[in-house]
Amino acid sequence: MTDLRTYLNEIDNAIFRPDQPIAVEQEITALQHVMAARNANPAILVRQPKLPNGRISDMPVLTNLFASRELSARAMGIEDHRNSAKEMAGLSARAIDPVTVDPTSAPVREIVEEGDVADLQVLPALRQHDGDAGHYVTCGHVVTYDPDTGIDNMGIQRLWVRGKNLMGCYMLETSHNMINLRKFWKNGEPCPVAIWIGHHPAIEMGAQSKLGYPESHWGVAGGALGKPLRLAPSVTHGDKIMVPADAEIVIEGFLPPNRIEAEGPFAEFSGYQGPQIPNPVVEVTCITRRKDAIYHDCGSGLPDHLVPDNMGMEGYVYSLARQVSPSLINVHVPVSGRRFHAYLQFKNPRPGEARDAMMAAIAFRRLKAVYAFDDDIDIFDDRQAMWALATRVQWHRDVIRLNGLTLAPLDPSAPASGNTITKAAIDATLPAAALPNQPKPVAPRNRVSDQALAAATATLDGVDMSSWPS
Amino acid sequence: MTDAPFEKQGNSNWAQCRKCDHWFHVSPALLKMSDIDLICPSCGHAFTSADAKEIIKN
Repeated sequence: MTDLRTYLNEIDNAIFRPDQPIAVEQEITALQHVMAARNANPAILVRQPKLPNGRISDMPVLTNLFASRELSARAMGIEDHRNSAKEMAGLSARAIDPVTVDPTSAPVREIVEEGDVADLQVLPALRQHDGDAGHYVTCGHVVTYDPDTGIDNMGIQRLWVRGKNLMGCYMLETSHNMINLRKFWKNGEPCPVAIWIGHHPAIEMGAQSKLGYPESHWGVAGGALGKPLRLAPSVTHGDKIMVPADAEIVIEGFLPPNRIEAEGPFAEFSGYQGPQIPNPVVEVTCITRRKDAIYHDCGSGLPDHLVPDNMGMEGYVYSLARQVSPSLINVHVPVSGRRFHAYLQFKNPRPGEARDAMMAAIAFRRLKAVYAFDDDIDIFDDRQAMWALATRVQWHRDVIRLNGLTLAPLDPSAPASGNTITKAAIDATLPAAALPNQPKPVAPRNRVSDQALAAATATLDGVDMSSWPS
Repeated sequence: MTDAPFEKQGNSNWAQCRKCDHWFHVSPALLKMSDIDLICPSCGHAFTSADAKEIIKN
């Protein structure tokens, strides 16, 4: 079996386990903010989560699991996080079909609470930020299915715990889960749903791959792990909605037809609060979990949230742009740009090729701006990206503005009305050399020799720099 | 297009709860839905946008 616990054992030294009680009301998230500011990204396992009523939850809270790019990449079997674009782009080709196991042997069925016994309030769900509407399940993988084909879909959606058996559910209008919901509702039927929480991070990241509609995510999730995902029929929906047998917690229920209620505000990925909006609700019929379940939270708008999403985006953007540009060698979606920016890196692009690739990439709805860089720029270092923008761009020549493209959701600077925005593509590559192996027709960059660099590195090896001025 | 296309305009709408005076951020779509209650994130009071103490639209 491969699950969240086997992974936590693997990264034992990269987990911070505070001893003292820490409140689910903002305090756990505040820890993540402080760590992010210091660029320290361990997983955090809170063994004594303090609930709003002052009681200590029996269920530990795990958060910040995805905050480190290095760890997240290694969880996916990617040795160097800088290779995530190519690796993530190839994920769907490595899909492994899931297997069905006897539900009575499924760890997530150790406790089954149905009907009136099911109580969402046993979960130590966090109220992460000031102004959030309430306590939210932030790492719930929401599974629905297409009533026409029976094919399932899955996506992480924020879920507001509103009582014992009621949750608000944020569903983007264009999401595949919303398409499924609309089909059920058109027939006047409630939309069946199951939400699973907590698994090996490779499963969680693989499950978020961008696929067509309708297309199941289970195979890609298994491919990310390198072995078939073990599934069991849900209690409420049977084999119409399967759930991971080795998850920590599963919440089952229905989205009743045409029941739309206010949901939010909620602090979002952009670093700003998303507004209260109309959304469907989930009526809970059953909660199953392990006897010693770990509750997995994801810090919204923090590296914990952005890193796995952005790594998935890198794969998608790479696959879009690589089709028109063989000189594209890498893509980085930096946490500094939230989900709005993508850095494209090229090795000796032909004239016009960087622009071609940027046009393909900017078609991705989430992006507002794409940037083209040469292979001498470390696209994982924002200081180098800014240096290239400062020294390789003439704004009248190298900026393309594209009007009337689809709006990136939750952009705080977007126009108050309308569904389209202006996006930008910025070419920060150097002009090409006239002939291969000739210098480029621009000033060479400052550099010291490799030998001098190696000597300097050796001089500083083992020197404690922690008290030096920054 | 506005008369001053290069002036920055806000895009957020706010509602104020009549019960606790808390201001919160509301989407234009929700404000238009007169049959759906807003829910104050501070005190939980549910009210239609028409019953808000104040609304700020942008």
